[in-house]
Amino acid sequence: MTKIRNISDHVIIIHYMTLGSGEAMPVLDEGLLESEDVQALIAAGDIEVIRDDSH
Amino acid sequence: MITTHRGWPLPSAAGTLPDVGVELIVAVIAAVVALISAAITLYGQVRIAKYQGEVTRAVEKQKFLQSLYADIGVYCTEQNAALREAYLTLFEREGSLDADGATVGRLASKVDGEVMSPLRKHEALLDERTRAKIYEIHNVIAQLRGTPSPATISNFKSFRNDFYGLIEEARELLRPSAVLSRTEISN
Repeated sequence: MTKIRNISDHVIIIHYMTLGSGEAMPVLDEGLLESEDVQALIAAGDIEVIRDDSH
Repeated sequence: MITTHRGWPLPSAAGTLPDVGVELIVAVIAAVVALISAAITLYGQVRIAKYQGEVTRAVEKQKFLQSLYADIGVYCTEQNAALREAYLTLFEREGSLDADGATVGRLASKVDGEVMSPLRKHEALLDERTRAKIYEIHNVIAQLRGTPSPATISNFKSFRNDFYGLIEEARELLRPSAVLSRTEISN
């Protein structure tokens, strides 16, 4: 399972979703990872994408 | 007593001075006693007022906690019901996730709104753990909003057990006494 973790020290908003600092969420919509706002957050070092194949 | 031939008392310098001294001492003692009595009364009134203030504050705090507890109780009931209904609507009702993307998206929007409604009404009362757990569930449902792709819907179906697990975790958190305790208001 792929997750997005907020590694910034502030709350981030992705589409309809709100992610607090340090919180992670499962990615069910793989299109999220391709979206501009998520790409921008990755580039800014605000989020990391975790791939957990054991799930 | 020395008197005149008509029986009137004669003024006596030697007899008057001690009488005046005793009266003065008695008057001073009476005044001191009155002052001490007034001071004791005043001190007692101050202590009583202070105690009454403490009792009033304790009663007010208790009333506030009881009303807060009642509000949190209402929230927990509403939130638990909304989460159960979300699970049933999405996973237990036949065909919910088998429709086209737009239909699933509309259903997800409705369910998401129902899950978030209790939180939005009572958010100011809640602790961070409770808020974070409901947002965690919201963040899953919200990925179905709009027009989810068949792959997203399929991923969501596979997430069924995890989704149930999230609702169970929320149920554990959604006990009024636990929420109140985590707010630290009651401490």
